[in-house]
Amino acid sequence: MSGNQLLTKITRLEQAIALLKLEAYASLKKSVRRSLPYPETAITRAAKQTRQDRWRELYAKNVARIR
Amino acid sequence: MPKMWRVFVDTSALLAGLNSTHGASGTVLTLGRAGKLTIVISPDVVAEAERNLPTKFPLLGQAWTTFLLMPPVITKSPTLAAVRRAHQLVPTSDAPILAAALTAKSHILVTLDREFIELAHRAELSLPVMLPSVFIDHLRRTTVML
Repeated sequence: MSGNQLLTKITRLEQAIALLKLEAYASLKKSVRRSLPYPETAITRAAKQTRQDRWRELYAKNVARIR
Repeated sequence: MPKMWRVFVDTSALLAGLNSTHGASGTVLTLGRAGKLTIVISPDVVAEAERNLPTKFPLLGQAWTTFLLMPPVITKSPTLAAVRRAHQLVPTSDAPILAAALTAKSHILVTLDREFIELAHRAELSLPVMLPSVFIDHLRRTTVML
């Protein structure tokens, strides 16, 4: 099997998996969510804190100055 | 409905997608990897992710590298004028993200930040801002993916 044929097969498999995941998402059980490496709340909190820090570091003064 | 969705993925949704391929955020990233969506991020999103991953979420490092190899579309940094305009619409630290998403002509912005969603909704933006789960539900109802 050539490299191109292999890539095509992989892409088709990925597409099929994506579709299956889309369907599976609707019936996802909470037990799966509980087995995550990190709690989602920790992720959202960290992302928000970092955004506010970077805003103060990079944007706040400049945006205020040109308003 | 666009032929190919350009989905701007905010940092919270991106990190959540790396954290779990089974959830809605992970499904968005998987659809991007499968070529069914165009995933768009900005240099601010990259910087925010890279500030958090090594210290707070080291287990996601490999998933992050794999994601970058997809590769997503990484926009240019928004101009200060664009950030200012976005800040007039959503007067929070989310303005640079909104500015990048608007400049990149994204069809949708997905985030887990409910305050951002609420403010964007109030501002009646042309760019819908929503939870990944809401977007996935919308896709399930309206799209034949294969």
